[in-house]
Amino acid sequence: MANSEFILEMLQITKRFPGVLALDKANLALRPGEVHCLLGENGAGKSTMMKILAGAQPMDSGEIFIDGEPVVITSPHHAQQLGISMIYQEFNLSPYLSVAENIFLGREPRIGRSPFIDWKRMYRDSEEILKRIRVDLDVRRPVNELSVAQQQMVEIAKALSVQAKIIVMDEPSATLTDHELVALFDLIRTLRASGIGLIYISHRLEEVFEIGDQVTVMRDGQHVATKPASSMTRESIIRMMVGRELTEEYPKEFFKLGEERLRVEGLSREGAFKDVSFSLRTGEIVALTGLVGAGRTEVARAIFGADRKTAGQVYLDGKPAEIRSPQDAIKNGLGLLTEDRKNQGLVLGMTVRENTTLSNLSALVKGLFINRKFERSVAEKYVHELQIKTPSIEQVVQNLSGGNQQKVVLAKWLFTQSRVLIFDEPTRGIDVGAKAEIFKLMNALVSRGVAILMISSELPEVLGMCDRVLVMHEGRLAGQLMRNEASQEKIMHLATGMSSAA
Amino acid sequence: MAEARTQAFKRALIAYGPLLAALILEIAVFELLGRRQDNPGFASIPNLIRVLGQSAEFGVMAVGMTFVIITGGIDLSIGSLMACGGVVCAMLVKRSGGDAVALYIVAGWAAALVLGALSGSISGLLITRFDIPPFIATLALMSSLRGVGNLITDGKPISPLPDAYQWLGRQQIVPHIPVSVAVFLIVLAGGMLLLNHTQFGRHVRAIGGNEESARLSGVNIARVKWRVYILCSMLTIIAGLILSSRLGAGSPKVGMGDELGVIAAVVVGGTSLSGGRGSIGGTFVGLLVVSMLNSGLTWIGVETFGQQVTLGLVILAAVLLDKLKSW
Ligand SMILES: Nc1ncnc2c1ncn2[C@@H]1O[C@H](COP(=O)(O)OP(=O)(O)OP(=O)(O)O)[C@@H](O)[C@H]1O
Ligand SMILES: [Mg+2]
Repeated sequence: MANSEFILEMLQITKRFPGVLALDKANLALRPGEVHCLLGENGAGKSTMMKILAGAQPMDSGEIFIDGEPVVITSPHHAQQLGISMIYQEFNLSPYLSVAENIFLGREPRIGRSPFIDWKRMYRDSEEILKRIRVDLDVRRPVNELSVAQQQMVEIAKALSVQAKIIVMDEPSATLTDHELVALFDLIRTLRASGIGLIYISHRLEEVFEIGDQVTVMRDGQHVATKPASSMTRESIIRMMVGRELTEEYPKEFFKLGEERLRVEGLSREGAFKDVSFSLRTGEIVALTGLVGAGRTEVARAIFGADRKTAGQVYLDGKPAEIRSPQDAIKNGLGLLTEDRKNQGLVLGMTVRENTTLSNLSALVKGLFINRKFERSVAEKYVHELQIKTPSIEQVVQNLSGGNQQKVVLAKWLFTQSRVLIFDEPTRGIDVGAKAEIFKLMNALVSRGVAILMISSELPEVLGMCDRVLVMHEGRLAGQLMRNEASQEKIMHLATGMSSAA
Repeated sequence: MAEARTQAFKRALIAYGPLLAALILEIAVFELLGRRQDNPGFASIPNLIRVLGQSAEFGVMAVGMTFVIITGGIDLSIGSLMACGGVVCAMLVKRSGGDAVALYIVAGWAAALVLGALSGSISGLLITRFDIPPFIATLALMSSLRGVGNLITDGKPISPLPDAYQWLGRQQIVPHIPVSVAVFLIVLAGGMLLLNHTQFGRHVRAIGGNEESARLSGVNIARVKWRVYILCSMLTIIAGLILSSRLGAGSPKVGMGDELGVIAAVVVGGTSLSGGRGSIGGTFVGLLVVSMLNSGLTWIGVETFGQQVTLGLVILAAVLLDKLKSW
């Protein structure tokens, strides 16, 4: 009989995948009315632990107690019945169904005992849930028309629509803006006050201190420590996660500015953004920031030829460049790392090796055939350089942890040898240690003459790594800040449209 | 390196093991059930080669179809196209009137291949430029091509043809190995190289796995798909030429329903209809499982109707097996 001070206890959980010991006797204990932060490096086993709890994956050995009673969780449905609700790191929405249909998928309200769906009630209840988390969304819209952040909110709404006593959130904040984050935290506090136990996974450590009560750190599938959040510091958490001291989170280096690499003049795309002009020189990292929905991603996609532009011209190395497709862009030495890795960045069913080389296969072709040996050495090199945690380069990327998938996307673009790289939220879901490594890599790129445009919603990294900050507001460039004059307040000022031009 | 090789071997064993086991089981069962005093058994080399010869046309088409299905598409026009190819070649050869037959035959092949390229281009155009789903586009083509074949021949087979016409289908290059089997084996090897070792093959798999990611990685989706349908159509023509040569006639009626048989072989071989996953090796083994079954059932005296029932069961069993594997 376990101690029923805990609403949930997971003891000695072990899970092995081919070539990987994902969980090695890991423990976790959760009290009612507690926000429990689960931290650890990419591939530490956080998501796997939670998938086991949610019945999405069987464990090899271990015990789970709910309210002190031993349980064997057999399926996601069973987990739901036990009061466990899970928001996955990778979304699980049905793209062509509406917001309301997704929220109530599998539990559609019906008219009396008839087989017919009670649409009125479904829409009303969905609206109510969304109002609770302060999200303004048309519940009749199909989910595939929503932005990533909006989809995330639908996931949360879905988890809330069941009466849960344990709610797991796997990196819910990765795609949210500050505004939405505030709403989410309010919601978490409300849930906590009502006695629900929450497990919260995030790589943004500042959030731990904002809402966390307890912190559990995992490393290599093992439990490292559980302590009250108030007894910890950012440094102590990092030390426990990484197993060593992290010297610098933002290892910014400065280089001499060279000639102009990319210039965009009067770029417009109807309904998305208007009259965007800026330039990018060698030796600098420029940030493009703003609130989600300000049109940052759309600008990047238009430059890259993924979407049609309605007006404007792109210049590369001073010469007008005709870019009508991603292929043209890549040929011209331009790369775009997309924000949505699952749908736009990776071919999940292909291996680490195949994904790494996909954008630049021609560099590996000797005569008619791909030089396999060369290809393997390229993949090995990036796995090593980016410290991608995978049993081998022949692992299917579907089986990698979220952060490690992101690193594979990064590897793909590094291998293209582009001269201009646009990174759209490059550090999403990446742990602090690896983030610093990626920033060092950016430095190395810049030193080689690559110009970098970094789209990011994370102001600390924008301020930490960029030489110049472009801020967008409602489809227009609201202003530009140099590194020495930029601050969170000034950026937010421009991003919310409270002042124009810097 | 050696480790990488044993790993690759292990993967191949997991991938093909069950199918190979099924194949061996089939051969053993038919060998036992079909024992006869005088004749060599079902498992004898000449008989196995005979079965291989019968499946050459199917095999050549299945290689092309594997590419199409891996991109997430389908090609229903191959049965009709196959007939058209044979008919076009036969019509040309018939005009030779016995002079310079070889020249006419080669010209016939060329004409048929041009037809194949044309047909593949049309599918490609409809699918990539007009965004018509492959199922619909090739369904339309299947009907139209069948009509064309019947119109130009008045629905009657083109025959008789000079003996030389049967070279492709019946001539043996080395004892027991007909030209058609050699062609099949060459196509098979070429298909494997193309899918596994070229940029084109990698792009085919990337498109089937996630078209949007592939596009944003700089893969020219339209061009790759276009080429895939042309490849499939050209291989179909080769199959049509082999068949018409074996029959010694160009008939507009052949190949009806063959598209489904070919798709069945590809799917039994483990290629996923939703795209992204599949192999030529798998298709080869899948084809052997299906054709050994048909031929073996005939061998032990089970007639067509019984064969149809059994084939259906085998398709289901193979797909279920595949599901279990990915569990
Ligand atoms: N289905 C699977 N097949 C094989 N290996 C897997 C599978 N799922 C996870 N793994 C491996 O298990 C380990 C733990 O993965 P998990 O997703 O739990 O990490 P995580 O802590 O959530 O990381 P992140 O912060 O990057 O999301 C990783 O090494 C991963 O590659
Ligand atoms: Mg994870």
